[in-house]
Amino acid sequence: MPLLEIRNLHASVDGKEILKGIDLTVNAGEVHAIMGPNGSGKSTLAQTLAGHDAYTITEGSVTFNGKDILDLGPDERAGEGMFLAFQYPVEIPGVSNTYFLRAAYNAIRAYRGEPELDPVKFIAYLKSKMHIVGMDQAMMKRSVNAGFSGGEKKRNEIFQMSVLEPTLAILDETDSGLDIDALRLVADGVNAMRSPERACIVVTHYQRLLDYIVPDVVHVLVDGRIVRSGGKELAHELEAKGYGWLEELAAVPAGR
Amino acid sequence: MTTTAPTPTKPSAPVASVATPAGDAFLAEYAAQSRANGHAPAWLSERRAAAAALFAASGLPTTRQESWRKTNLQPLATIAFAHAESLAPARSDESSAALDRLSLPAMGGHRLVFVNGAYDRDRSSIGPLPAGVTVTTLAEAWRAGDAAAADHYGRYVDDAPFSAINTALAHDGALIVVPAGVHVETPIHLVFACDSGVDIRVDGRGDGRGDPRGDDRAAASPVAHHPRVLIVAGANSRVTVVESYGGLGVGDVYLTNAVTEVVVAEGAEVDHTKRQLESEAAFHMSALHVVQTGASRFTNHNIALGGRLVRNDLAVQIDASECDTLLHGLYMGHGRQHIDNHTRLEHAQPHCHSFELYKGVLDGYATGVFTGRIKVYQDAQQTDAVQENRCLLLSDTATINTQPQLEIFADDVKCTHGASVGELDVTQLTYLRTRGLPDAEAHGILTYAYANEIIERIPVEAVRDELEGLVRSRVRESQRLRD
Repeated sequence: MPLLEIRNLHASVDGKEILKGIDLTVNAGEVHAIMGPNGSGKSTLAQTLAGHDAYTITEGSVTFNGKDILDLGPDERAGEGMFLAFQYPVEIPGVSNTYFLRAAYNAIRAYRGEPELDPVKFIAYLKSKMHIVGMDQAMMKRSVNAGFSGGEKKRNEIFQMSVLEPTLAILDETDSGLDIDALRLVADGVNAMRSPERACIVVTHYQRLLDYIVPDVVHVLVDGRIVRSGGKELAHELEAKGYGWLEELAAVPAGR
Repeated sequence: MTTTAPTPTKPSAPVASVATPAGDAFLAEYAAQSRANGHAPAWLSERRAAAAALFAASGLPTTRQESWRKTNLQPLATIAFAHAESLAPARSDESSAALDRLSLPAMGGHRLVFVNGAYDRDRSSIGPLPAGVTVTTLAEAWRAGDAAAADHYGRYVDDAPFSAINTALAHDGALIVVPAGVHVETPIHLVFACDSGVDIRVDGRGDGRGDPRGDDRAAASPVAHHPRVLIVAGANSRVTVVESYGGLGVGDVYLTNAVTEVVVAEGAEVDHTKRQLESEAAFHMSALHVVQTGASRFTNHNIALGGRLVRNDLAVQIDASECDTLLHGLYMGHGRQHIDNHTRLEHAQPHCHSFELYKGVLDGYATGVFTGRIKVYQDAQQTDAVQENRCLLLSDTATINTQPQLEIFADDVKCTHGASVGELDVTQLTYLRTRGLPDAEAHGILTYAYANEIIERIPVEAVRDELEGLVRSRVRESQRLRD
């Protein structure tokens, strides 16, 4: 059974259709990259999967671990094991990273019928994860993303991911606005999570991140449809040739 | 005997409004005390008499007066409050534990405790103080003929009816005098508790005329206490003061009518927190009057969580240039609580900066009032004044009335004001939910964070920690009621 199965997914925002029939199968252990020009629907796909209510699903199905998740709220999807690293992480002044992560971690455990982790054990667990993306104690005391630089916010997303240990992580343009050192940290964080039970969908505009997080499959999204899928060499081809030739392909869909 | 001369008419005294059971009881108490207390210094007796006369002429405020339009005192006015000092504290286990919580031993430092208006020596604790610093009771200062008390007491408070009642009836309170150049490093905690023995839970009528709690004290009607504080911070001195108010029984009905006067001399820094945790059946009326002189800094944290009918009047007179004034407020109401904050900043001199942020969280049928007045006099050029009132309404039935009042007579000033009323941020809620937090919990966390923006500014850690816990449990309770 695939971990994630998307069939003919159509989604729109404010009455405008953005996703026009997505089919995608992700197996446990795989890393899929979703690339495409601006406005192709990459972020919409990522946010729709996470359950953002700004998008309306008009057609299609999404099953995760064999379960239809389209009727589940974002918190329930997180409980099922999904995680979205935001392109624009949200600032939450007044809530410390530590408090926030403990609440989230215990909420997910509660969803799964597991007991809460007591504060002392949780702090120890948190500390064991901090080195992965170079978080320090001071950052843990600060409010979630408040006053963080762009790079710190992205690192914090990956840190949250490594604490919450999802089975499917979706990274929405996590590489945007990162310098090369931050990019490496983020990639290390993702690679540390790779395992036969887990999968990852990396949404990106550039091939650069894929040098560090090497994908098993690359998909190209143009105008709300996946127009081509291939191995990691497809990313290099896109880097060399740009998206233009695929956009032309999309204008005349194959097989019609 | 000739014919009697026509009685001179008092100038426009609204005599009708005086005739309330509450007002009559206050005046009767004043009459009784002035007969009994022969030993007060003459100046004090005079100020008390003047205040009593003032109140006799004005009576309690009514909603016909502009600044009381949104706060109806009817539930208070109908109660003939007994004087709290006549009621010995019960000292039950319940009230003793409540007094411990209110006294916040974790805070350490210096503590003066008053129960029902009377000084509680056993519960108070004054540690070693820097030379020249006075932390004492007003009664003691009056007995000793303290000059600061005589010079400043009652000089800054205005003619408002509740302040007048306080001046007429307050027989004790706290005096803090910090001489020039002295820094008091540990906070000074002033605790004003009321153990009324009248509990609405006993008969469940909730009309403020409950039966006496099962103890042997003969309290037939709710009591009133009139806490009074005078803080005099000398030039370049520094002091942190926390005032705490609370009832010792959850459903106790009583009136707290508090007045605090603060003098902040040149270059001095005063940080003042008011921690208002009254019983939710209590009335709480308070006035804070501050006078600032040159390059001084005054910070106030006005936290209101308790009380059934609450009114806070804050007035800061900024009388010299280069002053900083920070007013932070947090009010949280649920059930049928009514919380009214009236603030007034008078910028009389140039180059001063004021920052005012009030945040409200109202749930259930709670009502809130915020009126923030800033007056910038013609001479007060280069004033920089920021005022902001934000209110979060957690139910469809909660109400806030918010009104900024800016009067600006100088032409080179920067004054901004804003009021926002609303709900929680959807983007933040979604973000929290994608991390696994159910909708209700996400709401709770964001509500807490909203309130915490004020709490985190309080410099005293023990107060901060306690309030964080209280706000968290208040938020949880709101959610339980919704579920």
